[in-house]
Amino acid sequence: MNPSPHLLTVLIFFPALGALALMILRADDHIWIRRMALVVGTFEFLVSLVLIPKVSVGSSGYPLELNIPWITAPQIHYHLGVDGLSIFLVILTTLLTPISILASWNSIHHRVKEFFVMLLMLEVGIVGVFLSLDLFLFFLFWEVMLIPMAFLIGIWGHERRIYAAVKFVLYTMAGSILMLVGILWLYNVTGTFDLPVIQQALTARPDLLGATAEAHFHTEILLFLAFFVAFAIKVPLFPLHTWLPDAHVEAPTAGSVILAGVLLKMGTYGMMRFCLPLFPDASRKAAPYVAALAIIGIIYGALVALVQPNLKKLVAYSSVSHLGFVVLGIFSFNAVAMQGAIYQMLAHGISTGALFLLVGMLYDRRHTFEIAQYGGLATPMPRLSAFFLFAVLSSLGLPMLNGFIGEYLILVGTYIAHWQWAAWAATGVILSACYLLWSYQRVFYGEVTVEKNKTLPDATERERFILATMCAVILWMGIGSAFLTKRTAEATNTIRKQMERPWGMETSLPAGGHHTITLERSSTR
Amino acid sequence: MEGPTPVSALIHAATMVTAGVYVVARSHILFQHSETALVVVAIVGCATAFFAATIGLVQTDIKKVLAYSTVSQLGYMFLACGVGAFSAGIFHLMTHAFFKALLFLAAGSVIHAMGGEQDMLRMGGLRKSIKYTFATMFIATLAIAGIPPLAGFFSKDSILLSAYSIPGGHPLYFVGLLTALLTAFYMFRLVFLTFWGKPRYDEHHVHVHESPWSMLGPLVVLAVLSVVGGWLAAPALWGGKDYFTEFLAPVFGSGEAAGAAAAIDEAAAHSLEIALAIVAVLTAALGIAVAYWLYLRQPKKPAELAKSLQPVYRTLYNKYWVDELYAATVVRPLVWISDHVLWKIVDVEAIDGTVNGIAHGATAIGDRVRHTQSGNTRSYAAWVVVGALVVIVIVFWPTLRPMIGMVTK
Repeated sequence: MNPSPHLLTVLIFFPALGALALMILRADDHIWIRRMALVVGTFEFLVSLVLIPKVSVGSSGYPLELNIPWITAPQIHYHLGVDGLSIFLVILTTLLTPISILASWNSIHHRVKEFFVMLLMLEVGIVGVFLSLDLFLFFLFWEVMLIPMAFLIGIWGHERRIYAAVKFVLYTMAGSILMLVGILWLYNVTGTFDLPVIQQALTARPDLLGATAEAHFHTEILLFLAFFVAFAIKVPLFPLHTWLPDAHVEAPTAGSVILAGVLLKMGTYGMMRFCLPLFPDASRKAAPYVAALAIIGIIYGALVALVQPNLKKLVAYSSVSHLGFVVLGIFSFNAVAMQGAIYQMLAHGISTGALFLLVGMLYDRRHTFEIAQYGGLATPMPRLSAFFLFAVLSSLGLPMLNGFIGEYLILVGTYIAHWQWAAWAATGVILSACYLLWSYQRVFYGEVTVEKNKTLPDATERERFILATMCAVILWMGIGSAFLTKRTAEATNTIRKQMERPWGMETSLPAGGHHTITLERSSTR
Repeated sequence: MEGPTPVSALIHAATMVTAGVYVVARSHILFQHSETALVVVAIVGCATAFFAATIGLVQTDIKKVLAYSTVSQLGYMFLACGVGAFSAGIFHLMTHAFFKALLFLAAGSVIHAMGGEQDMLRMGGLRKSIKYTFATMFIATLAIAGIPPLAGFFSKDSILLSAYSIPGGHPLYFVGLLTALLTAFYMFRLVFLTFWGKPRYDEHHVHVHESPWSMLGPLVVLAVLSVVGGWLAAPALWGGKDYFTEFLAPVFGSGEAAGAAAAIDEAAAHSLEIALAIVAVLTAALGIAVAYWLYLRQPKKPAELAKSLQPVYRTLYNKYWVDELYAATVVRPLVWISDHVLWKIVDVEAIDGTVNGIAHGATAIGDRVRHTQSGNTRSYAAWVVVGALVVIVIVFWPTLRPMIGMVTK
């Protein structure tokens, strides 16, 4: 069967259509606004599932690709494509959107219509980012996604929402500007924005970036940094992470879920899609430094999470730690570790998404994130605490649940490449158990210390449905991981192949030579 | 130990705590490649056995005594692995499972009978009122103390023999033997305090009652196993056949005990075996005798001893302050550094301070530059002139430079 590539267009713009439909509804008709949004989100999710059979196991390249000229001068194409790297990130997005809609059912009271419109527009931007194969188009979606997210934080957030929203936008923009320069530079030397074409050009003609090997390498480093910094801010990599706790704490639950669940992965996705394949030598050169920052992030994020008095901030810092694993896996350049990195992106999206949903449910009841305000919650709300425990265990990497697979693959793969990196990173696994279990103990176990908490209602049917869905995915990913890994395997192989250039520095090494990369050696083409 | 008693029985006896021994035995191929690793395992096991036993001497919570006894017995299993006697270690794991599960379940039955009391100092004289619990628990105590022909005797004996037989293993053997003495002592202390003597509880309030058969049934089953379990690996010397080692031979190989038994010839081996068994039994008997003397003949003596050896007693009672040591050296420093340094200084002040500082810097510059837009025509005119001059200098710099050079000359 030859699938229509316009499926990708539908995937990107259907939520926009839904948003348009929402706008027609009366602003005070909250019930139908919610229902409509949920239907749109659910349909979008179902459509995204159609991608799975199209991206068959072992298929290389982009099994589903759409390439239409859009603007002639400069040459900009409406070029979309999906492969093993992006497919599950798209599905993660389309899954978390209806979940977020459902989670915001009763917690959004004002500007309800605008809220759901923003949520759906956010989905447009994120899915667009993951599917774009034209750098210009990619940049467009990358920026488009900022606007609804900023509004979500700024309008429906908590006390310091304006500060957090402005910080989020400016911080991300600062990185994006650098990326824009990088994109324009690449256009200048290759005459196209098309990613596969640029990839081919850079592989075939090393002189594009510089006449001599040295000049080439310098240009590559600059371009690498231009892209990398933008992605590192998004991840966020230590020490570019401080926008994250603010954004998370101030964002409404749905915003946090999408932010942690998918937005952060745009950074790590970008590293795998652009930094490594386009600038392999610079990536290799940068790897030790990036790994060092990732490891610092893993340990530092965990330690800072350990002492947070604010539950939501704790989960936010845990993201810094967990995403450090992903970056480490990517920059170990080992096939297993890179597979693990992709897996960890998805696993983190689900388990941290679930944690934010749960924290949001506590907030709906008590309007505080302070751990000291809770304690002994297992007595009034046994069901919610059971779900919470499940999410905690998945986040700390209990075998049979999703977090374990990603962390394990990353550590194994990294160990093969650089055992010291893995040894340091492994401490993060222990620390994550410390901060998660300790906070769980303080929130849910013991006697109920605050009078108000004694009468808190347990999870409602709607909440149970949300949480059961998340837990089911957590369990399924922990057991049926092969379903995902065999589909992402080819993507990592492709990246690793793209990193080897025929005239590259490694191949020109004399047989049996050391694998140190030196500029002199790269001059032989 | 804090868990419900049946859970304690399960995790102490078989599932959780013994996993470490299993993993070491399972990866014996790796350990056998490193003499150092084996020595470390043996020493750690030996030290664990001894220190945990000393802690068990003074605890008054019936379950706590059993918990530290488990730690001590695990030490034996590690000692076995460390001296290369993997099947002996696994064998002790099995026999220990029988009598330790029995001890915990029986302790649960005692606690049940006492209406939730766990402090042995508030028990006493229970042997007549809860006969079945007493009988089964007594069997288990004999087994763990290493009295032949019960299960614990064979497994402990084979560990001690292996420790004795390896080159340089004598110190390990003596610590192991000393631990056996302590084991017999604290286990009989437990039994004497609980089942003998005068009742030390309020007989008007506590109605001691035997547990139902649903609780006693498992005790009986485990008591039988604690008696006969050892014969699965009884040495040939005792007229038995070592089914257990045979069973494990595919895993550990038949040459496993080569370092131990084969080094000495058969006859010498047998006489050594007999000698060590006699020593072990005498040691256990000594432990029992001391417990008998201290807790039944001179019931006031233990308190006096505790008073006269206050520092030792307190150290043991507080488990060598290991928990406190960890809290002071690891937990509290880590939390303090994370809180006061990493979060409040590095994250908030340094990193986020820089980010916000850049933002404030931009605002400040904008604020200063704003004043040039005064709305005053004359100031605009002046700025135009200044700007024009700057542009002219830049454009004509190549021409101007030699002129300046001429002037300065």
